[in-house]
Amino acid sequence: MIDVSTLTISNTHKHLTEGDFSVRELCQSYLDIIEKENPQIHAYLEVFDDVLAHADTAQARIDAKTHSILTGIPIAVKDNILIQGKKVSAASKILENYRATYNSTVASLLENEGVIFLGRTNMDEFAMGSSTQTSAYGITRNPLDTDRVPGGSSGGSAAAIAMNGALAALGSDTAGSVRQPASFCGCVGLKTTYGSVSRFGLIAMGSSLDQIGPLTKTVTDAEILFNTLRAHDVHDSQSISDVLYASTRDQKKISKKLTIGVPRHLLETEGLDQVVRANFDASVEKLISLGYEIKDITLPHIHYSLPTYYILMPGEVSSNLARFDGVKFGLLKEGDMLLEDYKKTRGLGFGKEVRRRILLGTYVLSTGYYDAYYNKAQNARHLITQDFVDGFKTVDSIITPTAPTPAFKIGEKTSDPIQMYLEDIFTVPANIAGIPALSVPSGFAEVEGKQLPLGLQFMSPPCREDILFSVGKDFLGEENA
Amino acid sequence: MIEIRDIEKLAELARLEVPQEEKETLRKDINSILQYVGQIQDIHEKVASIASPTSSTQSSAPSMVSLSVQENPSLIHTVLREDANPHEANLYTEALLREVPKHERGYVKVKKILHD
Repeated sequence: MIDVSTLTISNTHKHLTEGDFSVRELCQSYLDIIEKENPQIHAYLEVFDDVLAHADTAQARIDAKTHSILTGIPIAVKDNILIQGKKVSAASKILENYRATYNSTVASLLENEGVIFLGRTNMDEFAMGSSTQTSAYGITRNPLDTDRVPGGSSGGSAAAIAMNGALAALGSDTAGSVRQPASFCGCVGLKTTYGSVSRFGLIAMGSSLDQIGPLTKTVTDAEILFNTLRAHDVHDSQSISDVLYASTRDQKKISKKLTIGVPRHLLETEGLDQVVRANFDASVEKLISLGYEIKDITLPHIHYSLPTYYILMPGEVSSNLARFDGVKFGLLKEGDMLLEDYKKTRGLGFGKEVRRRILLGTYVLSTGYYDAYYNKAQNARHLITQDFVDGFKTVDSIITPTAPTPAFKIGEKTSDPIQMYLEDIFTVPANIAGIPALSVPSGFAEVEGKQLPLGLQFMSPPCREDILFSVGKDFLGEENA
Repeated sequence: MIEIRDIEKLAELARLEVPQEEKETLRKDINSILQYVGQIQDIHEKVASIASPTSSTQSSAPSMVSLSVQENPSLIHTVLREDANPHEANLYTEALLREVPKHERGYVKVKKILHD
């Protein structure tokens, strides 16, 4: 039996190539843990039945020395990312029996490297939530305290890693859905630059905000996955060309020690847990002791981020989810006439939070309210983005806590949508501005006798994931290659 | 303030059946969300529009990437492919129809749209 708790992508690669264990033995260890832990944690909605077959194919590549660093690495995939022939439901009843008719670009890229997909992970329905409690298939529990949520919407992906049921995972991040669960479950989570990783084959929520990103145990592992996932794709109209990516990155090589900005005014946010505040202050001290220069900065419009998000996102949701009509794929509930088919299918297929956001989006986009909400929000988005442009003129990275609280109790915050939305207060600005952001474990809060993980968020200018990896590794004491 | 009849109108527009007992909760929730997001009404600054990173008209996402594109217009290019080189006919038909709830002889089947 392999002790998978100490494994990372980098050291597993070494073990596999040195023959310490086979890909099949590795995958079997994960399958055994999933079989034991998943009934309670419910990180996975489905474990794939072809894991060992793929393990043997990957082993053959390693034996033939045609492998890469990701060959044979078992990962979990969020249930909104298409793998051809596999079920994919976005944790919704409306796609309960849907099977992907094509491969997402990220799935193809990882398959080419010989990555093994263990299964699909639970999430908030259509990624709408911050606790994985809106899934149509039941909640996921936080492996570090099973009375608490794993965060969301990529809660299943984070829990899969935290229960040692995957070496890494894919999630999607529209307002913090990779970073906040990473923070709650003690993992590393990367929200990638808007346009850096293809969304072709990702079930869309808010298309001007959505990005796929990795959840991992180390920053080094996040970097390894990112290097494979980042690629120009003609199938995603927002995909950044390789030329633009390279030119942005060449602007500035990483200097010896970076300057880190702290938007202290944002920490006065109502609802910031004192234990999170204390942990954040300790992280700032740690960065100073590592030789970083800390600088107070002001982002004057940042407090408009969440209200801006809750106008733009529902607008995009109401358009994106119009495709679920019972005609082309997914659920069909029939009425007397076609119009009734639409209403019944959507009314029964979508859960409560999804219905709420569709109605809200229909409202903000309707004639008469469009100028007051949607146009105002677009305006606010420009101002927030400009704040970051100005901020990054004086600092290389900006830090905040990842989430305002540690993992909260199951059932908490479900009755008041605003309380749940406030979970995204620190993470949503990066989506609004399209910049990359990384959450790294920053210690623990002791709550009711349990050690609950906390996260520190680093943000950087677009296409500068390299800055995040450098400072993130330094912060966690990982070797900077 | 949103009333129950507004919820019903929105549901009609969104082609969404809403259970009777849920309408009041939805009304309350949506009102409280609108009150919260209403704070953006305080913004009076005007901003010039920012070019999208691509020439696609689908999105006007003013991301920081689009700002760097604006500084270097040579990076703006069309993202739409030429309308040429179609794939072989029927290549994906079977796979796609397998996911269609109702179909007949290679066609997607829906109820009558026009009524007498």
